[in-house]
Amino acid sequence: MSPEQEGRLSRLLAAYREALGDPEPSPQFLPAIWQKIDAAKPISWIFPLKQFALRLVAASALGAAILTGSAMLTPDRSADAEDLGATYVDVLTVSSMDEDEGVLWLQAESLR
Amino acid sequence: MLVEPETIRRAQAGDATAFNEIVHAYKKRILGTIYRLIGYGDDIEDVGQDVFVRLYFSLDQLRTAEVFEPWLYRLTVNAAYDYLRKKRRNPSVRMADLSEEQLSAADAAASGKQLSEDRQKGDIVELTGILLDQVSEEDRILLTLKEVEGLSLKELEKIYEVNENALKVRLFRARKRVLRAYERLKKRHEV
Repeated sequence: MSPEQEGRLSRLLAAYREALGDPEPSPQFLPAIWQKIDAAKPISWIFPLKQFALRLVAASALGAAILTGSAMLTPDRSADAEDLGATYVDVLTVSSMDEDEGVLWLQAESLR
Repeated sequence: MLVEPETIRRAQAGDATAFNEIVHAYKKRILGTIYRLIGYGDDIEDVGQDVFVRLYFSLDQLRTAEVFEPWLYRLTVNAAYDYLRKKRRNPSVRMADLSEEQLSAADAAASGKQLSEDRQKGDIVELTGILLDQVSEEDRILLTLKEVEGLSLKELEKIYEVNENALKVRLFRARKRVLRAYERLKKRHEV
């Protein structure tokens, strides 16, 4: 590149700068920026909805934990349930015996 | 700086009034830079708005208010670069469309003659835009910032975050490519 060519390019670019000038922003310039910012922000109703969903999941997990815990702590009454099949006379008979006799009587009854 | 560092800090804290002050202070300068970087007028406002939207969402990454201007320039350069890449025009087709008058106007300007008519100025804008299309978007932006915007190498260093020597090499190559394109164009019209 000769200095003469260099000079020509510099003068051309200077003329380009002068010819372009400075554009004037329109009155809508700032409002349009805020519109674009608002459009790019996360949608406002999604955030509370997400918060609600998270709370709901947490509450469900807590409820499930409480139910499981209480089920584990409650005594097993399935053995008592077997007694429900006995007649009033059977129960009366067993209660009138002492403990060993009662057990033997119940075993004998079940073998019949 | 066109605004006080305190205004920038307030905008960083989410103060919309402070942000509006920044836009008012810098909008003309940014639009002028974009116009010179992309060289045509249709989408300047759109690209300018994009710069300020990028600024709004990246203000929290700005370490100190003192480096605000190079930061804003970098955002402007990035927005112009993205635009130029999207709107890439075919340089050879545009070169073939140039008229004798446009080339004469460019020759006159390159010889240092003052341009008076608006039509001549339009010819210069068109021809120089085509010449700048002959180099990559990166080189076009660098050359425009240096030769048309008039930024110093020190200012360019802050924007590009590369050393001065690397910038000089890149500028030299870009100038050479544009000059070659100019010579090719002149030869084509002489034939």
